[in-house]
Amino acid sequence: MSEREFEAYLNLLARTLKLSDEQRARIAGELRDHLEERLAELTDAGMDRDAAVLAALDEFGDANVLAHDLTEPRHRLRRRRLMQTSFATLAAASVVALGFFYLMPATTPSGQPTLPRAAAQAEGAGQDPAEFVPPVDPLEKIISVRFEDTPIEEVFAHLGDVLGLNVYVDWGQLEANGLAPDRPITLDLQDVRARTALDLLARSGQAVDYAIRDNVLIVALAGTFVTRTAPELEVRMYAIDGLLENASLLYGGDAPLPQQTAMLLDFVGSALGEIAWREGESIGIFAGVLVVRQTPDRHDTLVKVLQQLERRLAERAADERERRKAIGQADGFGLRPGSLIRESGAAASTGRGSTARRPGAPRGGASGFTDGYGGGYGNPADE
Amino acid sequence: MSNLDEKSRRDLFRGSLDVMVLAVLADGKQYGYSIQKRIRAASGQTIKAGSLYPLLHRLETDGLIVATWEQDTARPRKWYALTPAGEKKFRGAVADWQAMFARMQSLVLPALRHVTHHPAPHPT
Repeated sequence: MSEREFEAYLNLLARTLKLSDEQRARIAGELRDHLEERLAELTDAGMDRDAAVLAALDEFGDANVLAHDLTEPRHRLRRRRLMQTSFATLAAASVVALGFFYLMPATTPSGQPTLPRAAAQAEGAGQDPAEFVPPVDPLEKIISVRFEDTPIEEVFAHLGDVLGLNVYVDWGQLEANGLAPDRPITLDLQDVRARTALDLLARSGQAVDYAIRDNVLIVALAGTFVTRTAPELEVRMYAIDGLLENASLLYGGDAPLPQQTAMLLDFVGSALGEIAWREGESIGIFAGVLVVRQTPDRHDTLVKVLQQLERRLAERAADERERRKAIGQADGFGLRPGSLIRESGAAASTGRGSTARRPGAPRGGASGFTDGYGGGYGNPADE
Repeated sequence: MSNLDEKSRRDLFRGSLDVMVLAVLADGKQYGYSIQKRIRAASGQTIKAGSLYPLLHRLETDGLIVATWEQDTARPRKWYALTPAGEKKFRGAVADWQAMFARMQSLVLPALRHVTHHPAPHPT
């Protein structure tokens, strides 16, 4: 009787414990020892055996609650260790970033060397487009992690914390395919891209695949996401004639239009620099329209980049107008805040998509084209 | 103790559990069940197994106690002992406790005399 009752309780408890098999076995062993001692004491005192079993078990309370209470201290310790690792990484990254800023050459619009950027920023000096911080693809972040027999569920949660993403794991499907949330993961990685860590994790989870959608890290059964390695590329067009008109503000001077187009392209390209461009992906400017062939996620990033750029240029154009007014020059800047970026477009596979060009807007001409453009525009995306 | 209401009594007991466990182990190594019995004998109250083990594991994780397994008995048994950090924690807790007790006494004892000698006047 006692054996069966105790084992049933301990099995239930062990199943709920989000720990490694060895840790679970040890906890079950300790509790079994207690239950047997207590049972012996109660029956020695004359209690009926069945009643004693129930009484002994009752003192342990609900198995789920106990499992949680027993797991908590270990998880707390692990979180503490992980936090230390993450902070150390963050500190190292800051040092590297500072060094980078100091080493980067910076120029004023007039071409004169200026303060290193970090210093310029610290002084709140101005309008240098270099100040503009491109959104970082979370998968490109450099992280360090150390997991030791950590339940995979916690690993995902921790990565979500580190990457600033919500996490959704489709446990229903995964468990049906033999991946339990408590599958222990051991992984020790220093300074790797988050993508690498997730790839390795996906491999250790075998049937697992992941994707990031709208700030949510989604983990699901392999094959759920069409193809992560070769996601569907979409061609989208962005009416940026307004930006183009003022591209000279990026680097100063009154460069001819083709040159300004190249500058803008260069700038957008470098602002997106966190994103590695892969085969089939391209960016180009045609007749005042930015044409980009990229994955939907990266298009979203691009929109953010362009919006930031638009705001920055609008501010700068306003300042420039003031300055010219002050020195009695004509107002040559027609930038209107909030009206420039109009994404138009559409997956190339549909073959549709308008250019949404403002009538009469200046055209950039073909001079700003980058390679790869011709292959992407108007053709169906890879399928 | 019977003058305190049930909740206050439990809170007081719960608040003292860490120190009680450390005190039991200051005497030498013990296993879960024996710790429970010692505390029951000393305090007249039972710490439920469902509370005792999470508490022991927490103290272990915090490095205040250390566990060893005894394998050569009928059932494997996990023994706990105080670590130097646990001893230090215990001494600190006892000092705090004594200081608090002294402050309570300095407040409570004179007040008790006052209540005994001068019963509260009845409103007229």
